[in-house]
Amino acid sequence: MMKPESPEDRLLDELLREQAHGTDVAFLRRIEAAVDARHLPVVAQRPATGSHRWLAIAAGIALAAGVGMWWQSDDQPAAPKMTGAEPQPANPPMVKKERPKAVAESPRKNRLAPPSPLDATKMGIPDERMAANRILPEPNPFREMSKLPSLSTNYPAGGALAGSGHGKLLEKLPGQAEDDRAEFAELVRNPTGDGTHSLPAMVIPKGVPKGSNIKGHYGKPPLKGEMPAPESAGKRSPNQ
Amino acid sequence: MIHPDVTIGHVRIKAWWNVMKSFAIALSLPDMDRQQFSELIRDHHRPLLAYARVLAGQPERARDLVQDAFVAAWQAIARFDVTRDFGSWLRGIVRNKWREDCRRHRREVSLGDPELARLEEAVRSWTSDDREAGLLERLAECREKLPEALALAVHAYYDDDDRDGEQSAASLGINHATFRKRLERARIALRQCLEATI
Repeated sequence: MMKPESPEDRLLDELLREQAHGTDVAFLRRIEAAVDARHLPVVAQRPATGSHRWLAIAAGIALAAGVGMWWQSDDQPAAPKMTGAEPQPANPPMVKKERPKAVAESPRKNRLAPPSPLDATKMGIPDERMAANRILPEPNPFREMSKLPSLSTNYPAGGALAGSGHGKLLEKLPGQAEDDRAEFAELVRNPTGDGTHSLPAMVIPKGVPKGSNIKGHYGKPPLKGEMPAPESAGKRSPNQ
Repeated sequence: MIHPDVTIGHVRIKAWWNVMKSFAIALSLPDMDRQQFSELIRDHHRPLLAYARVLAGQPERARDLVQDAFVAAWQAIARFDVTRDFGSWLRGIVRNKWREDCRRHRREVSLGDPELARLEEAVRSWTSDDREAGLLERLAECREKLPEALALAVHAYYDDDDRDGEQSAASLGINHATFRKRLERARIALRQCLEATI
């Protein structure tokens, strides 16, 4: 192999070959044609200068400020009406038309909603045809709750907690809710009023032993895996 | 203005002419028109082609790399730093195009970063004053200074593309090993000449 190994010698080798070849006019034309094919004006390739950049930024700020002012002026209330006593200006101020409130009067929403029976009556549609769209009135739960005796302020004292001795709690006005809460807390702590706190004891019927199941109690054999009944289970007591 | 071919003693008017021309072109780059860029292409395309052949290894790939590099340089000419060497900028573009080509065609990168650095250093050491524009002319001058035996070996091997090493040795009437040794000595002498004449 005659080709050198080092990069420097390889470059010298290629330079000597290039020198021996001479100028390749065809290749030179090819390069020129390729450059001309993508010819771009140098001015167009230059990046934006400082003045151009600042002009663009200023234009953007001005545009944003204009849009913001227009939006703010649109939200302001309409000018008051001129009375006859006040002098009329030569050029009356322009009052911007208020945008329609898009809450309940939106025609788009009304178009989608089914007509109510009242509307159907106005429109002359028979009531039977609107039966499918009839909206049945539902009771207002809060209005119904006000009829409960425990929440009625006009109910006689002791109505809800008759016999407990604390019917006066219901006589309080709605504005005295904190006092009511305190009295209620006291009622929970001391329900009998004499300091004794007693709850009714659970009554276990006679003849039912503790820990027995009801099947074993009536003499049936327990199922597999079921806890067996004690010996006394299933036997009738002499009292029964 | 002095004609570039005029030589007075050891002062190479031609080399100074090339230096002045390169600086004038570099200073006028921001307002460069298409005609000036064509002049740069004419001055730089041959050394750049040799450089691309070292990278790519194949003449046709090297031509494509050089062509793409000039197109990219023209498209980005407004961003060129006039304080830099135009040839060095072009070599950087060729390197990037070559790496991109290797990635696209999944070819192995034959030269690593140390070899590329040595290559760049060699080019700069050979072209520090008149840049790439006069490199081939200085190489021709150095060839003329070679001893006859070495000059014949260089002529037999490089000036005829159809000959390989053995045929060149046969044309000189020497064996292949002697021819190879003479060729190596000729390369060393040429490198020393190029580095000494800057």
